[in-house]
Amino acid sequence: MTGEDDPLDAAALDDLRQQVTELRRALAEIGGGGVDALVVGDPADPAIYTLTPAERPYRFIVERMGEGALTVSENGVVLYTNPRMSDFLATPADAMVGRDIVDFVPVDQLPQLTRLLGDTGESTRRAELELPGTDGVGVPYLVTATDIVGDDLRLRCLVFTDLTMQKLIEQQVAQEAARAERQQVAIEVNDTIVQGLVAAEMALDLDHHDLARRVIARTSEHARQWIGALTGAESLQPGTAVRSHPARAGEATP
Amino acid sequence: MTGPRAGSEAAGLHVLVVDDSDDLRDLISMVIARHPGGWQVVGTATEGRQAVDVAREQQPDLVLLDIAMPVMDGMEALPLIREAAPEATVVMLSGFPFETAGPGALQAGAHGYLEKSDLVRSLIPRLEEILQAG
Repeated sequence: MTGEDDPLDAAALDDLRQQVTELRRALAEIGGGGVDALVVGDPADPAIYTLTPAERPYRFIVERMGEGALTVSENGVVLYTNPRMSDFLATPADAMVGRDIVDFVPVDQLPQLTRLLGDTGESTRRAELELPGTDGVGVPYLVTATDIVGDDLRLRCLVFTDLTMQKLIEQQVAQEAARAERQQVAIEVNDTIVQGLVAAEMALDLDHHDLARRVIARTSEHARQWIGALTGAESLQPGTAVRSHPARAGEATP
Repeated sequence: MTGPRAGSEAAGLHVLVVDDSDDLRDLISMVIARHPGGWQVVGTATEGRQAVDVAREQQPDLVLLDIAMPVMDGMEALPLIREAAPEATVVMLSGFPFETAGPGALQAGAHGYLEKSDLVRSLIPRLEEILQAG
């Protein structure tokens, strides 16, 4: 018979020490994120417990995506920023977290920010914001604000998409449209005024003085209308000043 | 004859005048009708689509084709007229200087290009020149 305080034999003690060491190592691996799942129970019918957080892939995406992302508290304190957002604002993440988001937005953009952060009843809100770029020049962003509501917290996630390229394309399209309109106006002016003068000169050469006078009077009236349209406040619409149909010219013709 | 009518054969030339300006169309027609070689205006049109129909119907020797017109412009009508009247010499008329619209018109198949500012005194000599070169 052995008493309660009977010492364990040396072999049993070594075995226990070994088990403790292995458990400590396993816990350290789990704590360090090195274990994706635990297999427990009968090897023939194991129970598998997944330890990888389900949100890990999403976090990976947010960390690597080309858009800037910020999470702010209900009162506007920055809780998280992804690396891209740090690049946009040229500010390290740890210098942003804990500060009011207002600190990063120019005063003239605050009304848009307020609308984004406001409680409008919409789960997602969008607005354009212009933030100072690394070279000091304003960079336009489309900002999408989404509410994240939990049991005892309410956060807002802001995603910033750089609109520089889109704005550039829009500007080029607008310039091209303006150029096409100027071209159309040139065609109209040319067709109505220049050829009116040519017709008058031809009529004079042919001794059709009455026709020449009529052509000159008509051309003069057209010229007045064009000049009025070109200098007036109203936008000039090609083809509306003097003709029932706008003149057309081949694409190769300016 | 397999191509546009040459200058030596230009007597009694049949001409189609295409321009959306009534005055200019009438005046060009008058100048053409005064040609000592008996040139005749066999048709007129105010825009490209109408010009293609008249060209197909009249088979003119010479087409004077304005570039800037409503409905169908001269550049668009040019290949259709060449197809409808393959024997015709087509001369483009434009208020634009040659450097602006001339090379494109010639490349598109026109036989000549006349600036409207030249019409006043040199319409006939320039047309004869183009027909001779053709």
